[in-house]
Amino acid sequence: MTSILYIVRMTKVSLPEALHCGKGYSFKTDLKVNAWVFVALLFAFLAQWMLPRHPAWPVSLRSAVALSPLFPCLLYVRRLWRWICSLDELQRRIQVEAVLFATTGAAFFSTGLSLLGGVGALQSTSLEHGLGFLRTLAVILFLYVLGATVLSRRHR
Amino acid sequence: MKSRLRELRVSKEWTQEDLAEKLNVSRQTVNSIEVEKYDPSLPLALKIARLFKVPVEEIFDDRGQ
Repeated sequence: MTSILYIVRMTKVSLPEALHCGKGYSFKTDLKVNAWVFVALLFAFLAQWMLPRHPAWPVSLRSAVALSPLFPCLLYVRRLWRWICSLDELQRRIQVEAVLFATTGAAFFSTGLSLLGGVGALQSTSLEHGLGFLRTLAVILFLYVLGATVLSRRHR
Repeated sequence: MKSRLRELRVSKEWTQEDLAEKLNVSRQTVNSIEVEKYDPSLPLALKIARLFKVPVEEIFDDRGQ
């Protein structure tokens, strides 16, 4: 892992401020890094809209439509990872820690809900069948922003 | 880890921004190293030593940790 971080050349540094509001903000960088997440959201909304309207579609097609948001998500993770690798070493550590915090936090949250659902504690609530794609994305985003903010404040 | 980075930077009359630009890192990284909240990687420590033309152990000292 350490060797992966060290092979990143420190010749071109991009800063996290390019994605946050402020004087360093760049819409172009923001769009470049986050574009795939919007595509994933679009696919998720389309899948949610189409699947209940076409119950007669074959299972293979319904599965493909249901899983369609995951492909842009993979591309988003790839783009995000490349952006993190282009940061300088302290910023990279902050972002990696924030991403780890967000993903492990979301996994714990999702597992907790699943266990509660298993014992029937979430019956007749919208969380009965798990978080779902959009809520999982929202939880990850919330935890990422929280983690990145707390960690960035320690290194002002 | 003890760091003499601030002392060396001030002796050259550079701001944190100036040093960050020379090292190709963010100002926050320079500040965190100066206030000893963050230990630089080996490549960055060597880069700092080369920039100030002093041995790396004269800038960073891990004794007393």
